[in-house]
Amino acid sequence: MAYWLWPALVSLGVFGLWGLQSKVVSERISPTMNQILTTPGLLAMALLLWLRREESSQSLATHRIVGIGNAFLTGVLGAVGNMTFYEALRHGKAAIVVPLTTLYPMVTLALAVVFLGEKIKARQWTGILLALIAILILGG
Amino acid sequence: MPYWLLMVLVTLIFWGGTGITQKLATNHLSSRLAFVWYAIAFIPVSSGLLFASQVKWDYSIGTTALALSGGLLLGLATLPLFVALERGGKASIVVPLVALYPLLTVLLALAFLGEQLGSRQWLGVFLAIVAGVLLSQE
Repeated sequence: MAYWLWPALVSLGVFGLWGLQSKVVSERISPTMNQILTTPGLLAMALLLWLRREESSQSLATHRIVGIGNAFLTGVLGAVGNMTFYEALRHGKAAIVVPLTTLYPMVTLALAVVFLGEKIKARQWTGILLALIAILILGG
Repeated sequence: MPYWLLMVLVTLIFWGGTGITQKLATNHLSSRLAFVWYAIAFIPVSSGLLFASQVKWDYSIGTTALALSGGLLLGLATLPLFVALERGGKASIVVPLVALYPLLTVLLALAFLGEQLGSRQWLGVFLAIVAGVLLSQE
């Protein structure tokens, strides 16, 4: 087995567990409380990553500020999205909500076309088409 | 439209936005450092929520511990992803592979939560997972 495959499979497994954990917790506590209680654990893991960081890039200070600002914004958007995700899980099945919410790169692609001028590849168009069909089927 | 679906669509918009900001962040920072700042942003958001909302701390220790484990799981899922990429795994393979995780959640939800899917829903879930893998490729 390739050296990188184990951690990739662990990541897959833990994300899968997180989906289940999110559903169980969402049925017991509010999305707001869930988001608040998610924070300490995530920060602990971030601290671990920060201690092991190997920052090789010699970015200019201004570039780093842009990077940090965008990473911070990612966290804010992610946190708000987490709460609506928990709310969806409160009222919907995990077996449907989790696969649907992993379709978010579809929105990223649309935003990338509008704001970054990127082009969508054929494979991604297929993904978007299948994602829309899946939403129609599961939402109907 | 069912309420849960509306919430799913709102989630797609917010998380979809993170795809752009994450890309802009990692143009200037390593993925690890970007993740650290992503997590730091949770502090003001959660602090704001804590003060703005009237949170009732009447949950059992078990429920609180289970909720606390969410952040740990998110971190524990992300960390090996970085390791896989740093060990030479190609992003074009590793990221779509990890994008299969909803399949595991579906199986766990069926096994442990007693959820059931009809044939139409199975088709939708299958298409969503295939779409997720296709969309996760650069």
